[in-house]
Amino acid sequence: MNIPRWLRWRSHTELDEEVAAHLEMEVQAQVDLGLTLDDARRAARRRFGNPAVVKQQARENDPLFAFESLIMDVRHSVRSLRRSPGFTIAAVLTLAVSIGATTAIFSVVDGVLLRPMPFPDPDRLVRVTLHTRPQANATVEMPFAELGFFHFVANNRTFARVGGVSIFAGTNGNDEWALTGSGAPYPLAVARMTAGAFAVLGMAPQVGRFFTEAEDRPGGPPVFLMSDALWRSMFNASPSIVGRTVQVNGAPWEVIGVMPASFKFPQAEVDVWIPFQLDPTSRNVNRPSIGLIARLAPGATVESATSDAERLVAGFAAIGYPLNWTRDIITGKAHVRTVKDDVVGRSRQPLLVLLGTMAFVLLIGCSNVANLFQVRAEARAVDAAVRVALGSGRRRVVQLLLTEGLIVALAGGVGGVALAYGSLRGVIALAPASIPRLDEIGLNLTVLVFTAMISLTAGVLFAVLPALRTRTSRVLTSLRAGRSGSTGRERQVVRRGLVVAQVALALALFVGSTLMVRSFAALSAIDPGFDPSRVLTFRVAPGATRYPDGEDVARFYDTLLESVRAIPGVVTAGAASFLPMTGGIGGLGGPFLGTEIEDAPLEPGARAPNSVFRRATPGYFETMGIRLIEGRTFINDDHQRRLGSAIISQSLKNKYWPRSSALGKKVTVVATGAPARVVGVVADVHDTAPDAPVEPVVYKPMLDERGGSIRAMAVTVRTDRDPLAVLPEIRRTIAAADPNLPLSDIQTLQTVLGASMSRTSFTMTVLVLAAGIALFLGAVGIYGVMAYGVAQRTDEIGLRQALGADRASVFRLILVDGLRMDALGIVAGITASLGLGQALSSLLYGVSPYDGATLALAAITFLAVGALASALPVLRAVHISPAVALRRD
Amino acid sequence: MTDRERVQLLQGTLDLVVLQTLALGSLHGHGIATSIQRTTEDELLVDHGSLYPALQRLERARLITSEWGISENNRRARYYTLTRTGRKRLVAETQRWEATVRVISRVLKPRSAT
Repeated sequence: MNIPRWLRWRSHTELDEEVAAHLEMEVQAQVDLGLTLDDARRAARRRFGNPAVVKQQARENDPLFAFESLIMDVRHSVRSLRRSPGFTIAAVLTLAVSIGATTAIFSVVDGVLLRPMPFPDPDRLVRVTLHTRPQANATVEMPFAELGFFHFVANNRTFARVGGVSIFAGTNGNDEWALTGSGAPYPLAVARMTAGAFAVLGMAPQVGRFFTEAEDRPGGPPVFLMSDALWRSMFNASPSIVGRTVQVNGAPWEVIGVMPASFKFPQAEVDVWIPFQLDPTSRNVNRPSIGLIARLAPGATVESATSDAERLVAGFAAIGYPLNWTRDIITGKAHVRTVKDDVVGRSRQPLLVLLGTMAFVLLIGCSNVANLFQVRAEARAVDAAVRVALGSGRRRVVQLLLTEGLIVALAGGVGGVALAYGSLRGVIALAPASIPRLDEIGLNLTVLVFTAMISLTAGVLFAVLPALRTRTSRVLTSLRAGRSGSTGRERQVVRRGLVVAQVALALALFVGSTLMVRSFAALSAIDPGFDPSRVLTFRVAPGATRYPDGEDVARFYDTLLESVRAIPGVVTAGAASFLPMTGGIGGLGGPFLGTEIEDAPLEPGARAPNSVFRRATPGYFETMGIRLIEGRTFINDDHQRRLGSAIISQSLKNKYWPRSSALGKKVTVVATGAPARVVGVVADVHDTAPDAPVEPVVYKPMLDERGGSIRAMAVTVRTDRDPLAVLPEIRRTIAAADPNLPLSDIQTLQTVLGASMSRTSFTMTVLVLAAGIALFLGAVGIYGVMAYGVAQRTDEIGLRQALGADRASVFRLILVDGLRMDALGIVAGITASLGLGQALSSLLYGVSPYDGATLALAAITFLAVGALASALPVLRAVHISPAVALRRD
Repeated sequence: MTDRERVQLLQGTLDLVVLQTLALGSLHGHGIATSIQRTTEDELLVDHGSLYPALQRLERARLITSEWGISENNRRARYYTLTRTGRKRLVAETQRWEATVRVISRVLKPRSAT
């Protein structure tokens, strides 16, 4: 591209003309002095100096020159890159893969960890929880009961506003809600919020209003706010929704507003928010469910708020908390942390580890490409030296290298973004649902800027290393060395250093991924205590309008299970209050209840030890494949005739009756009141997670002595075919019995089990991918350097052979050289992997971060890879014929 | 006189030399070169070519202007003329140069200074 003449400060042709005129005048002057025309011309040119340099310098004064020369450089670079497609494709692909992987993981980190919460001033938004004694509960943190909540509202000194929230129904609430009245029931995830909680969060509805303090009192009206997603999917985003009455669980509720799409609190899936309608006079502390959120008062910090909260907790006994609470359950400590930390929580560590490993991959990729550039620059060293000698400024040569580096880096960056875009869906699908804010992940501006930055940095890096060699002092050496360029030792040192670093990083990744694979294998090998194959599960919750008392609910489940069992393909069916590994009630540890055992009387005043409490129907154990140890499983008479029966798990039996039968023994789950007789003992089940210790479980029938029944249950159906294939028939059966009843959380038991290990499997998959890329790139790196080294030493090898060295000694010479690099890398890598193992330790199961076998495996693998990558060039080396080698130049 | 015996021009002094040369009137590039050669009796080492980047630099700084004209032997040539700013700069630079020379000479020959 040429700059239009009128844009130029002075055209090239004008300068050309001026120079030509000058030379002619000088020739004339010399002729006048008596020289012949030829001599005069020579003299004039000597006087003038190098016209090319003069014009070049003159051009550099032109402001457009920089731009013009950039375009020239780009064209030149593209041409020269196209001339060596092997190099270009290798470099761009390597970069695309490593940049793409890094970008994909960075976008996850950005979406989850970096991007601020949508609330105004989110750093002043905190969540307060009570610290419980470890033995009191499965969770170490507990929400508030009304008593404590209103104590905080009235007496705190560090909060500007205080609000309460809780998940009420859906996802992990304990009740099932649904939109009814128009077609199939639509299950809802419901959160309860105090009017103050909205003020704390500081986000306004996009349509309508919040509920008022008056609506947020016991006995207040049935009103709710809905999510943007529900508004769009069910009500066509109609603004006239506000004020309309819709049917929820068959009762009329008024819609008062719609929250913005960015409002995802307390979690993303919430469909509707209803007023908490807390009763300030309630003295019941046994079912604490209020999540306390607050906005820090001006001047308050998380630290000052923590000590304020602990001062308030210290007063709990004085305001009416029973003695066993202040002594046995809560410690008097409180956690105050920002809402963001609360949401991100456990996901931070694995994500940062993964980002770190991707940085390793990126480093390996970059050093590989840098090596390619080095080799290429050396091959063209003479070319560059000639340019410098011919008067091309060193700046120009460096600029050209820089352009080339940047073009390759940008191409790699673009390829990387494309790869990341393609793989991001896969990454998100793979990611455990426990990672919060997954829906906020995407290739946004921050991510693109990040990618552009790493691409540019990489490009500059590639250019700078070879550019160092254009230092003028070296030019002459290069020219003298002739075609083969310099075999300078220092060049090799840089390249070898890069290869050692690559091997080290790749080995660390290899160790990390092996540790994760072994953890995953160990997790998968755990017998969860049930058989997850071919079992379909879903939750239902018969509403109180249609099924007013416990008897109705129990009859509903009896009929439902009976008709489901009759469906072709169904082997057995049963139901339980909660499935293993689906979590308890919203962080409350609800299903853990004190259990008294008649044969083991408590000390006076002591608290009964906890066990997991579940209600189960006949057929549940058979469907789940939970083995019966002694006695029997539940039958219909257990609930219909209220036999007061219970089934306990093996660990509970072993604890109290290690040598005798537990049948007929009396156990009392304190919260349910009446004692029950053990009719059966079943195998232990890993209830919280595969890697969590086995908890004792007490199962009771769905209808209890007091006549109450649990409404929401998880139905399990064992099939003899693909469990999802029977789902349509199940839906039809249930709709025939009750058209208003929604099914929620429909999944196979295998999925439930898989989800409980997803944190491990996600980290493992990403690490294995990273290690695979790293191992491959590392091998390519060793091979490249070895092959190049051999090519460089062709003369030497030829000479050695000519002087009588046999093939074996040449073989040793080169192989030892390659293995030395490899070994150095392995030693460095093992050191690095100890650090990585430390970072991974919270994710490991059944394997030590410093596992010797893993380290040995890694060392052996890398020795083998290194030997293989070195062997190929070596084989070439020993077949070099001395005559050919020596004649080559 | 061989190149080795000629005086290498100090960095930045070429501009001053060119300005001084143009102080006597407009000249084209070759004229400037011969004029410098003549005044210095060929003792200053100046590649004729190096004048042109200097001329462009000075013109961009508006110390000189240029226009095409006809040379003494009827050839098209670009003539350079000192501007008012150029003249002022020449006076200032000359004074500074003289001051520098005085000081440096005193340093190099301390006895003659006392």
